[in-house]
Amino acid sequence: MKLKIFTCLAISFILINTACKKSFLNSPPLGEQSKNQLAEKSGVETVIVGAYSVLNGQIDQASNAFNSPPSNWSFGDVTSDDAYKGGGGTGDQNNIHKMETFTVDATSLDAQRKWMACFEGINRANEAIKLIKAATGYDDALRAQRIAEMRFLRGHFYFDLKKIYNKIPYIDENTAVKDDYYISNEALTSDQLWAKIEDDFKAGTSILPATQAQPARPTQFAAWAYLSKAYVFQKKWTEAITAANEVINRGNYVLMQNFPDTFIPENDNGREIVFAVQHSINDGSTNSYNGSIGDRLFPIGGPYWPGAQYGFLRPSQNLVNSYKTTAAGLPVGNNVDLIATDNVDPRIDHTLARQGIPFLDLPEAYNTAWVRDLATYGPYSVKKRLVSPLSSHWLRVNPYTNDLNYYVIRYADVLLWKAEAAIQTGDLETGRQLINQVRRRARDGKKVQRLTGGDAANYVIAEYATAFANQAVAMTALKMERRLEFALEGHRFFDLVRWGDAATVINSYLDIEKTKRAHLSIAKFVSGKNEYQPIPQNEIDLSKGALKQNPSY
Amino acid sequence: MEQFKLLNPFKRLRHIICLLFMLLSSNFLAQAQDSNASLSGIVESDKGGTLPGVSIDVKNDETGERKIALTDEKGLFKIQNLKSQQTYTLTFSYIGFEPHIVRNYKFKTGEQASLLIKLKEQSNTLEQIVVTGYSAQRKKDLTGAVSVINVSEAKTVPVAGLDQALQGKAAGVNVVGDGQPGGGVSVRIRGFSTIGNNDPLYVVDGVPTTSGINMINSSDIESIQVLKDASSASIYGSRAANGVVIVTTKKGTRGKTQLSYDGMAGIQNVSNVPDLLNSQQFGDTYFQALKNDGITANHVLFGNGANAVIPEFLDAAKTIRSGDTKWFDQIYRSAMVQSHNLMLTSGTETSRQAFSAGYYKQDGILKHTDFTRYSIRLNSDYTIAKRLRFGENIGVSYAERTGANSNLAIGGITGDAYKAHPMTNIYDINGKFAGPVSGLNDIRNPLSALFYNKDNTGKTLRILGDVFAELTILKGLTAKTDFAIDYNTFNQRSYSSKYNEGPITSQSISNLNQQNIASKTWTWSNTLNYNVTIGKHQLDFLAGTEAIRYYSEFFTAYRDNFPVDILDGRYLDAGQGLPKNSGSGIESTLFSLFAKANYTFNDRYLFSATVRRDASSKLADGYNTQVFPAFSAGWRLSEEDFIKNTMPVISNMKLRFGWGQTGNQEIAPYAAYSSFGLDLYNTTYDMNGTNTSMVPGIAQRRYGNDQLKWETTTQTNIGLDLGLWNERITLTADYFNKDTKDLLVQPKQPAVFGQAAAPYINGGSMNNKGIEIAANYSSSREHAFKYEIGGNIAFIKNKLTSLTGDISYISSPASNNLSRGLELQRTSVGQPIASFYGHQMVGIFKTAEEVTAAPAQTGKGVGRIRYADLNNDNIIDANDRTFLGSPIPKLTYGINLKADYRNFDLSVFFQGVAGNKIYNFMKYHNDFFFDPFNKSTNILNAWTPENSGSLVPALSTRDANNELRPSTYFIEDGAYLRLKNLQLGYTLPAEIAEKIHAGKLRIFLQGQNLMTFTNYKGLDPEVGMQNYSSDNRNLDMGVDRGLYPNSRTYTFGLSLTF
Repeated sequence: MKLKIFTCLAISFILINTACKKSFLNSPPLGEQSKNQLAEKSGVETVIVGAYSVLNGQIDQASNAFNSPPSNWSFGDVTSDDAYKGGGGTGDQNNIHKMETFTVDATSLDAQRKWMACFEGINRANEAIKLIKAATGYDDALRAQRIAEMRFLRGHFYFDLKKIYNKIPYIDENTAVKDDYYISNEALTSDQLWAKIEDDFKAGTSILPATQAQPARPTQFAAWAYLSKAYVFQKKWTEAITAANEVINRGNYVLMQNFPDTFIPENDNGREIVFAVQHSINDGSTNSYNGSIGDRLFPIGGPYWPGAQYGFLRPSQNLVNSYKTTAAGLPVGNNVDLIATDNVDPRIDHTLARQGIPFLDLPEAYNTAWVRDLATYGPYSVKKRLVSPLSSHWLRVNPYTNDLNYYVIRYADVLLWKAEAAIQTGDLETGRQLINQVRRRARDGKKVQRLTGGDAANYVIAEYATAFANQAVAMTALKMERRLEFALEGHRFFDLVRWGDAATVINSYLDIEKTKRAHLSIAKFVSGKNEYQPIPQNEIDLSKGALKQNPSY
Repeated sequence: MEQFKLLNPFKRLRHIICLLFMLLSSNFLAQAQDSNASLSGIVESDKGGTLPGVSIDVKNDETGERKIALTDEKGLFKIQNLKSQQTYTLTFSYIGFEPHIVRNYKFKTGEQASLLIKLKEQSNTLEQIVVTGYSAQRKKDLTGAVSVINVSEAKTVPVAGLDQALQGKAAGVNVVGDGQPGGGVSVRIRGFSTIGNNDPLYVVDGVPTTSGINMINSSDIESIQVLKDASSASIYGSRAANGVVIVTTKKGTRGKTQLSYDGMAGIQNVSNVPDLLNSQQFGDTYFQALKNDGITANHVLFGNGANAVIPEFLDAAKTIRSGDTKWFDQIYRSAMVQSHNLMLTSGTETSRQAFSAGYYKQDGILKHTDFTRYSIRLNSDYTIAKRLRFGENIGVSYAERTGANSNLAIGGITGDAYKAHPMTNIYDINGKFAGPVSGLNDIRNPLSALFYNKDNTGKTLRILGDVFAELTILKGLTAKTDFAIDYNTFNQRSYSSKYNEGPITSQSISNLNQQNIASKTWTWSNTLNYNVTIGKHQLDFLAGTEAIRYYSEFFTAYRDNFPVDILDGRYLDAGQGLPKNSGSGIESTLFSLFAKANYTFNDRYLFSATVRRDASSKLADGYNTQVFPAFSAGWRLSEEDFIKNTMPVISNMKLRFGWGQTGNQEIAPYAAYSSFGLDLYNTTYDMNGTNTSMVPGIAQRRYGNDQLKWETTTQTNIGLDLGLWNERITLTADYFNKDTKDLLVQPKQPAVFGQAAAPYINGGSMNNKGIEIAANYSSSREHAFKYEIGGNIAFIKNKLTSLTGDISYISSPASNNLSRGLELQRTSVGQPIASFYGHQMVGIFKTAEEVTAAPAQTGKGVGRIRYADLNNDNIIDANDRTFLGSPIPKLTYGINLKADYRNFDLSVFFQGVAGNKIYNFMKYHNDFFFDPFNKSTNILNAWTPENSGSLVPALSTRDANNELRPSTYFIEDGAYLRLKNLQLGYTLPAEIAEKIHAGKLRIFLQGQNLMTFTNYKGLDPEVGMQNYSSDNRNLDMGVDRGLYPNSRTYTFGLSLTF
């Protein structure tokens, strides 16, 4: 009896041991997929969507994509003569304050986050390319098209990295071994990097369709336009013109009739838009992070933005002054503080908010009492790319995103690239006509009206009626036009750098501006250093020596 | 404190004479001559019930003649033929009880003495039974490092969780918590053996759990043992590397059915509030800061005159008057704490039951926060046919908790009270909550935030228990099978109402977020136990298997736009906005085989060997199985003649040596797998450009490591147990050296790898070494005034000893919400984990000459902070950062004083730490005018040419010098000594207690956190972690971002036994 019990027990022990061996310990992730389960087109298509998803700079579960914004408002506007950081004092998003005052160092949070976001995009594109190549279920044309789309995205992310950091490590779908990821950011020369970026866009120019059923996907014209931009950044003027012409001559693009209409969600995949980051809200995602998460700190305060009193990105006095026009309707460009009776370019009141001027479709005029930290950042607020708080396209709960797309490239950009390239190649007249084409829309389109009717300010704007005297005059006109047209769209700083104007323009801006805004008194642009953000110190520390810092950081 | 009730026949015989006549048979025979005395009586336990089998040693002091007797099954004894007029020493001893000695007892001629002896159950002595993993041992046979917690002390501390009550009670056990009722607690045994999860394994009545023990009613606890070293813990192999806390709940006892009640009620207050500026001080210092910057004073509210003037109203509509609010006084309150517990125990020859019901309710000292717990427990076992025993232990608890965010740089309620502007008013002229206006800042009225959160109660249900069957196969051979379950659910509806508190803080749409988490773990263990004693050889052998499966599900749903803002409307279906949801699941398994042998020779040479083989689903297939061995030996020197004969003062002396290995696999599951997944935060996209639709996408979620193996900790322990004067002085000293290798770390990858979760690797090693000493002195038991002094102290040194080539350091979690994007801490080779990292502040620049002569430092100037040029390159930059101290105390200690006088008892408990630093992050906002938040009164002492000795930099509104960078400016000494507990008790004399039909009645008064000695300037030096559940929680510990302070509590309590 005793023995029997003992034996039974022993047997059951053994049974438990063996029974509990393999399957018991096999516990793959729940609700996730392995790479092996992504061998077919249907699965790979979702991986492609995942790659597009990074375009809005959102890479984790924190709502802080404002540190890696696709619009580059901090990297391209706040660092330029167009805008201040804004928000609740210099300690609020202090890293951006440091960027604004050029006291930034390699531990900068924003430098780190933007770098992370771009490489996440690059990785997702690379991963998708690998899966597309191996997947079943694609016909050859679609397979090629999808690869071209992913290369386009990769080109876009590398372009951002190139203009922000200059020296970057390059990885693509052929980077396979772990050690290959520890490639130096000096392994490729600047020209070689540009060539890689060009290649990704070039692939799209032939393979991508002229139109896409899904507006989020790039067309061949988007590829041509981005290629043109890459040429402009490299001063490859002839090639830039050729590429721009493909867009202008063959693409179905126009400038919207009214400048402000370009910046409302209803038109954000309209005919002026060449390539955009798609934003959506109320789309079922848990936290509305598909909205304008990178720009979510813009709501200006006051009674119309309950809960969202962030007030970041504040126009500089210098930008305000730049909209002053002569009686002939041309830019004055003397940086004397604008007064209410001055003549102004009508784009000023579509771009920024001034005391007493109606704000979008609100029933009352903008009031500086709405503004956060007026003492530091002055009375102006951003207006362009801000969706009306009365609109259903703005989310009235945290994270207060809206669904206005960010335009990576709009048609006016293509026109002005071609204008610049033409001027640089001596064709001043083509340049003038293209500049005028952009000014004409501003002149003829809707202007901000008082609540009681009539223009809200003395809007005077005209075309350049006579031929430019010389290339320098033409370039001055072009540079001013780009500034006025694209203010607060994240481009200004990069334009200044590629023109070689950054040090002179920014330092002379600071000399005057710091007498009006005390927070700038510590700012000084150092030539040869501040053209680029520092390579994030964390990345250098983690790179096993592969990454080298930018000069003087 | 239990009273000894020696019933001296000259004094107290009358009181019990009736009782004795009932109990004793009357066949006393008078003896002739001098051997005519006799002694009889009854022996009871101090917990009630008589004790059979108590050994009574009656020694004639003059002749040395001894008589030995045992109590019978009714607890009665009788010894005859004792000599009158001679003195005797009477010793009553019984396993598990303190021996009771009566000295110089002289019998009168013919005396038939009757005694009622109450033996006190042992709390800290050698015969005590210690549960050490699937089996139990006498404490004197232990060879590992085991701390036995004094339960009666621990459980009278009015804290919600038992884990908090462990603080300071055992050497080398360090406890920190977030101070909130029912909040997070972290228990660290012997330092930090790994980077990730350092929580000990808890074993409750044999059921292993890693979910903590704060849901267990502390009144139910019978005993707690902490297994600290590898040789004692390694039977639990996996998960034992951080130590094991063994909790045994009360079981029924044979004898009469007993009902007892324990209860207490008290008041808690905030022990400390910070000194912040009032409105006028804020205006004055702000104007001074502007003046220092060369800016003409100009403020929307304070005006542009020479002095700051406080306006009457803050808004143009004149609805909000300017305030002068002390926000800390507004958000804190005196709060009630109470607890009531009923326990019923009974037992027969073949069955035992213990049933308990408990209620605990603690209001938070932060308004509108509270914690309530209801718990019931039933432990029972039944013996059937002598050989077979069945039983179960089950505890069910249900808790409701309304908490507040604590210790967050952005959004924590205490942090907000630091930051809210004093001029912000609490209410507007209509008596509604007011908020800040332009010119102040954007911190929401903290009182309003608490008020609107008051119904967002989290509800937790936990069922933890097991059923078992035990069969005695042969004499000494038993088999046991035990199936246990640990089931948890958490449910919370978080509603965020519409509010409008002025132009800056308002919300126009209400929303509701509902969260449900359900998890279950089952554990099935089977053991065979064999005990045999042959002559002087004693052998215990144990072998077993254990299988564990953990599973949990998470679900959250959201709606917004609730038309009516009422409590009854806060359900998802009432929300008219778009429904949103997400859900996920986690599963992991563990399978183990183990064996253990204890061998004792001649009661003095002790050997123990353990081996355990663990396999875990969390690690990679083919690498997930490991064997963890351990050995230990002990030598009871006090049993050797050369000690016994030469040094009788030594009542116990044991040398212990142990070596063993334990494993760790407590990382997020699936670390071995690479996978893709959908994430609503960042993998979906509006492909169709509709602005309101998303197309689902997926992206790489994690990089797996298909060679991930166990992290192994090897620990050596050398210990000494010493008892002097019959254990009146006891001392336990241990030295340990713990080496962890193949550290499971998830080092940050360079961003070129993308943002998918980096792979876990076996990537480094860590060392902890230390000394622990626990000592106790008890006064003589024979005097009416008895006292005890005890203390424990532990010195611990933690160091990361290596990281594999890929990693230079492990960074603290870099969330913007945590530390404003700053990297305050690093975990690097040669340093303790989470060491503070940054610049050293040398002082403040006093003169222009000093500024010129100093190394290049962007923004340097008179009155600004001067940083050390550590690499001597004459430039202050990132390369001058260094390690600035560790948040881990080098020294932790506890001091216990106990005294009894007649029916009064007093206990005093101090606890402290030393050798740690705290990063006072509140200075980021409160010491600088770089943001519009309120400031500390520190800045009233800011540097000026006249006050050039100050170490607070000159007032300025610009951070030209980058003074917010992590530096020693923010780092303070974290040492403290705290009077944790002071308790005065009174036990009703038995005669009076009997009159009210009570077996025992004790009342007590208690004070908690009455005094604190510290140099730390923040609210409370007990700075814990930012959170208590994330995988990387240890990497940002010791940073004060506005935490919920410990409260000062006064309680009254009583315990009553029938």
